[in-house]
Amino acid sequence: MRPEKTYSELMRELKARRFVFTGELEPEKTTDLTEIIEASKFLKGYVVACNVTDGPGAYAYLSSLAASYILQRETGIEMVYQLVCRDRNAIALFADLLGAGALGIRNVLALTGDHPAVGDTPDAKPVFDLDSAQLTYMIRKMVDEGVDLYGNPIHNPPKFHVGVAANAKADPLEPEILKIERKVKAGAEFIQTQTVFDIEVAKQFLREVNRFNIPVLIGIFPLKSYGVADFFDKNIPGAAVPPELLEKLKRVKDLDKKIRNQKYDEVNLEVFIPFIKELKKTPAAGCHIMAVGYERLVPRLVEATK
Amino acid sequence: MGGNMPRVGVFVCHCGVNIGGVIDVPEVVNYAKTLPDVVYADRNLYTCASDGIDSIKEAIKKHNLDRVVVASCTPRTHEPLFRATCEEAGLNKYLFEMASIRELCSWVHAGDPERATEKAKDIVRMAVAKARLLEPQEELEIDVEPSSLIIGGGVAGITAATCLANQGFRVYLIEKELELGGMLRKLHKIFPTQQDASELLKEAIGNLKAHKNITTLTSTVVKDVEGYIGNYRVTVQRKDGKNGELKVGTIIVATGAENFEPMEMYGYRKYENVITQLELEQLFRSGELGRPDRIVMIQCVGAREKEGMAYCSRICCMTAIKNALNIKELYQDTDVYILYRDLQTYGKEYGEYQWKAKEKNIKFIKYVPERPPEVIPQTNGKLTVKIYNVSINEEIKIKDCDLTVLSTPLIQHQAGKELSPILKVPLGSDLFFFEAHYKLRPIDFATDGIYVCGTAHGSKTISESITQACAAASRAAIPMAKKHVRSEAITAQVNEEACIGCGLCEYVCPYGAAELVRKPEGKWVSKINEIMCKGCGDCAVICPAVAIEMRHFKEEQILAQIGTSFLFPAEGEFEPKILVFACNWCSYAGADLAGVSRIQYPPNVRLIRVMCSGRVDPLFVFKAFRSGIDGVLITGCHPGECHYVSGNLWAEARYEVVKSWMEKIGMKPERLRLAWISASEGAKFASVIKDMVADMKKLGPSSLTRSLTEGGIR
Amino acid sequence: MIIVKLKPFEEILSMLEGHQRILIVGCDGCSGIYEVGGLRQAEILKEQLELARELKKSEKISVKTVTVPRQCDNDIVAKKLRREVAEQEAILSLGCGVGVQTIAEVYEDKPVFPGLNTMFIGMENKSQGKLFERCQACDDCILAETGGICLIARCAKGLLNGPCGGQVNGKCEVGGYTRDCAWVLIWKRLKQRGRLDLFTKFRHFRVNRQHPPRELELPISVTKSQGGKS
Repeated sequence: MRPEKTYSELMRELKARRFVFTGELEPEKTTDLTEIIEASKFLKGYVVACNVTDGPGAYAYLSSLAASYILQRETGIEMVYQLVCRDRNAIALFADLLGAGALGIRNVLALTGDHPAVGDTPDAKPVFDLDSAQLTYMIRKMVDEGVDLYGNPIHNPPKFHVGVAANAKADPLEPEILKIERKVKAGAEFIQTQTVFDIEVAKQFLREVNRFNIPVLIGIFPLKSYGVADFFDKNIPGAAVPPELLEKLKRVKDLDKKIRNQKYDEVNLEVFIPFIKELKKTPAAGCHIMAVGYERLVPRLVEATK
Repeated sequence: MGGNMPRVGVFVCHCGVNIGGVIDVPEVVNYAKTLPDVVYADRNLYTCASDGIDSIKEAIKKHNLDRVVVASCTPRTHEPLFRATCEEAGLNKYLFEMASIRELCSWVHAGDPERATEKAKDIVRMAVAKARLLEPQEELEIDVEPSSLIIGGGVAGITAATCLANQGFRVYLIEKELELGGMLRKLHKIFPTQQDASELLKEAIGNLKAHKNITTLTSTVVKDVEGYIGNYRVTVQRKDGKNGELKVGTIIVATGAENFEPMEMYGYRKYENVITQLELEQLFRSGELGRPDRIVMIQCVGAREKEGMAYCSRICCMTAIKNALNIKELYQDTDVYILYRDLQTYGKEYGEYQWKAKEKNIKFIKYVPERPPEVIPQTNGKLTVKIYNVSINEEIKIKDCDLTVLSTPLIQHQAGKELSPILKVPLGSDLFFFEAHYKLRPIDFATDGIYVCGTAHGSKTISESITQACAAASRAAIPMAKKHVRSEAITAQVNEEACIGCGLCEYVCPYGAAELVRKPEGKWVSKINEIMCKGCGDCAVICPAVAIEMRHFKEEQILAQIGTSFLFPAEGEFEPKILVFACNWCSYAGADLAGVSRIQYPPNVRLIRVMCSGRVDPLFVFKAFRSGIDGVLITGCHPGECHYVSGNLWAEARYEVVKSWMEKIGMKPERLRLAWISASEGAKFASVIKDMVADMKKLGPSSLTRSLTEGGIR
Repeated sequence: MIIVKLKPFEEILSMLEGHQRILIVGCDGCSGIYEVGGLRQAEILKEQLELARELKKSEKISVKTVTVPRQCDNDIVAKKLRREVAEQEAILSLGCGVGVQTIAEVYEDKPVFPGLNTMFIGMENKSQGKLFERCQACDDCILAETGGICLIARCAKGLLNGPCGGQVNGKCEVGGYTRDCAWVLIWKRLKQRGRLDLFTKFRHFRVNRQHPPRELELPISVTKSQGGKS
């Protein structure tokens, strides 16, 4: 199902079977990307591409299309434009994808999107005109055949690759795997998973999806502080932090602030360097580091696992 | 019904040589004896003769028969006779069934006695199958209140009231205005006699007032009507706002019509010298006409349109000529033009009228609706009328007209429109009241006991209104003179348990006999008034809960007939088996006529008689095909002529639906047909049969397994 | 059935302000069956309205009640309510939104007010004591592929190719993880039947939709009757 053409660095690396690192940037309710551009300096040279979130958690944040373009231009890092189905109908999604093409974006992550009810604009109409599988299918049609869903031709079709998300920790797991099968059928070219802490979980997942022959980047979530870890653990089901890790972070919390950050970094490196080293031994195609606001850790992580 | 098994007696008639000359009657008798529950079978030379009648009565008594089948001529002649015979022998008359082996068999298959005899056996078997399932019925008889309500005190209402009162009936005449007279009060002179309208009216009212039997209520309107023929309860509202109740046996609608006001057309209400004919009459009466030098009349204003009022209002041409002549009588020299599309002056007097007008130099100019006249105001207050004269292909301008008179149609009143849902009687597409049958029942509504006359029914002349009023009075007098009405017990019956209260029966019934009512425990069920029900069966077939049965034409009885219609197997060359559903009033009569006329056709058909083609349930069609029948023909009255108003339209709608299913289930749609056959179309009946037999022969036998038995399916 | 609930009394009261002769029309269809708007509720509401207006506004108003087998049929509404409507000047309908509109259409010159809020098409579960939304009238039923579980009505996102990533332990992210993820239910059911092929089937973006407001012909055209009758 992979096209002959390669349009992005990410895809080139994946095809070459080199272990790939990707990062994540999350602009919030702002029109100013200065801070993020600054933070992304840590990522340059260490990740091959960076995801730009689209209304994560159903929060009304800066358009990921605009952000992807600006960040790609300003940082020189290739972006993965995340596109959710929550807010736009088939026409708008298509229009934005043409826009992405026109703006030189080369990777798209097709997502369903969190329901408005869980975000900060809970009464917004949930659109979901397409789901992530249908969106993936549409994107492949645009790129490979140069037409829209109804077969109408596109002048100068866009050139990008489409990936999908997965939950390696889903319970029950089987429907998640079958869903991935569907998305692969629809044309997905790579997978980035949600956060995983347990390497065994990652291995199990990789075994299940092995038959689909699709590059999988396992997601990790370095925890900047105990506060962040606790918040995610308590409030985001599916982002459960292993208790031992929480404990370790908790102990750091009470330390002197002069050494606290350094200690946090140590805890994370202690957990994730071995994780990534193990991961490199698996069929995983790479690692997706979701270090939002914690970009400074990335260079050490990548270096230590070379 | 004594005991559990019915005891059927079969009497096969020779009818001299009419039947016996073709059909082997003894063989049919012997066959009848082998049928289930037949305990007695015999033959007669003429069953309708006194010895034949006696033999039936004797056999009933001697053999304890509780069902009787007579196989002879068409039920449309002697069914009443044989039913009476059964009654005289102590048997309920609805336990009798007739099998027609003359009109439907011996007379039309004279050249093939063998097959005619086989068919006669089948017909007898079908009749026995139904007879076994017949149930005794009671006919309802109700008293008729010998009083009548006439709604509307115009010339029609007054005439009807006077006629009825003359016959000795109590009459209530109600009129919504303060004074009697209706449209007549507004008219000047009447054509063609030129009698003064007010004189005619005075005479009519004089006759009315002379009667003690007539109670006249003016400034009174009908608020509500409940009940049915013989027992109407009418709520009227008087001028003081108080309500009163009247109990009457019949109702006559004579609410008249009003004159259409053509707002904005030809400058009406825009220029003050554009008026209607009615307004012209008022000017004559009041003497305010003035001295116009030139008058133009325009015909067909707001009438005979493509949309809206499509009808011709019948009287406007005469009215225009009448008024034109009146003007000429007043002022010889006044120029009068009549711009017309067609001059509808029919009959002797009215034809002469036209010539008289031309003699008086009234000018007639023909126009076409594509190029209507134009009325243009002049600065001096007069009007110019432009008209494209099609006779000479030229546009003419008639300048300096003092008056333009528009001939507009009569239309239904607001009061008439409001009366329709109160009486539950329909309005036609032209909004005038709609009669039961255009030809056969032009004065009656489909609802028994209510009649219509005058312009409420449609535009007509005064003499026509008067005639119709007399007719309505006669019609109303019939039930009142008889003092009772009896209804045939072939009415619909609701199973209240099964009824889901959908209201479709109420919607579909042309007689208003079905009504959705709320029972005390809260459930909505259909209640059928057996006096008003005519037994067409529309409700039974549309009922989505299968909760309605038709007495004497029950589903199980008809299915029994379907199941026993053909005896299998037939050896030798393939002979298609065709089942025909025929309605009692038209197509069955047409089949009888084919018989009477001795038109021969192949014996491949068996007829099932229903009261209306609307009774034919799609389930009957499926059962027929599933029992191996090769072709099914549904026949009924021509559209517009259904005895039950619209049952045939339901039959057609259902036929189209079933037809669309046939291919999907793997059957050839040509096997199902529909034909409209009137009572006078015997030849057409025969030719439809011949065609169908030929076509079914070509199609070949139905590939469904035959599952007929002697006793019928199921 | 169509699931409805009574509007707050204060809202009904304020809608009817200024009207003296009110007709409350109940419905023996959906709203009556679920004991929201039948004749009984109409009569209770009548008492409440008359009392409230008397006590709060010192007005003596005339409230009449009547019910019909269902309000969603213009013929029934025209025939069964004619007399009562003529006597009153404002109508409060205890039918669903369809009923209110049918009455308004038939009786154009009288104001008609909705006494209920129409919620969803749902199922009654007596043992749980609740009504559940089960259908969204999508006109393209694929319950044959989903083991009889509707993915439009029961999946918060109406996904044709679910589940989404928001599912945790078979619970949906909408509603605080208290409601079942429809897609996990579908997976369980199809697994039971050995038909996971139906689960994995890729369902395309739906085309040839009829957009609201939608229409449908009656099974046998009931307008095709009674000759020239209007």
